[in-house]
Amino acid sequence: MILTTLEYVPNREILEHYGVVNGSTVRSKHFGKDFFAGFKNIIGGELKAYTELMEETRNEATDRLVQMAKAKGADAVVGLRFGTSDVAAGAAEVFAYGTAVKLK
Amino acid sequence: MVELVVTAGLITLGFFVGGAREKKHFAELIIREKALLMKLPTRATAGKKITSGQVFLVTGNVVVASDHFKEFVGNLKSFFGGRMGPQEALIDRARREAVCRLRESALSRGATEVVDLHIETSYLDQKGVEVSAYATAIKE
Repeated sequence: MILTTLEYVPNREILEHYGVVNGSTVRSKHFGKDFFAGFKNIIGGELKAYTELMEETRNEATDRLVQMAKAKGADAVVGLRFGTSDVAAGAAEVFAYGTAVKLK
Repeated sequence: MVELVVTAGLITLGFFVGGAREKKHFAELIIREKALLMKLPTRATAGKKITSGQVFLVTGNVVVASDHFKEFVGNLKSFFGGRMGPQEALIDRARREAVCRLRESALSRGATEVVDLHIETSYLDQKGVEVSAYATAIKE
């Protein structure tokens, strides 16, 4: 599966559009990680546990998008975008959306 | 009284430790950005269609926490209004770090160029600022 933020795939022709596909996921943090993040808040700096969490969340959202595109018989997703939001306290939501296409 | 001393202590700790860490981070970023500019040059492709190469998605994430000194100054500033320098520095650090990570990951996967960069910023539970950068990498 080719994923790109561009509206096309270089050197390849788009044969068919399958419309918008999306994937979203909501994840919450582990209590222990949250506890140590509180300490980090005093002196500043990177919150590695949170960075990891966001990365896992993003990967999962992307996986779901890919599955939806596969189900439609697509072999690439173009014009891919990500968004994030806070849906509940202590949780993060990531959503991914793009256009599923079939390439020549 | 005890509370006041603890708060003052945390703010002082934030000022010295947080400030030193921020300085160190900025110095690191300058070195990394210079190295990346040499290895992964930015070619002007704006408005031009890319006609060759393989494409893949690259991302870079970071969550950076504020410190008590920044928060204290921020609270004071928000009362009077005006520029919030410490917050500007925090957000700048986070964005540059995310883009650096993205470019480093692109480089390690053999990319020769990165195009169509998007940067997303959000607050994570009021603990820090979260920046995620994503782009399309091109491998010739």
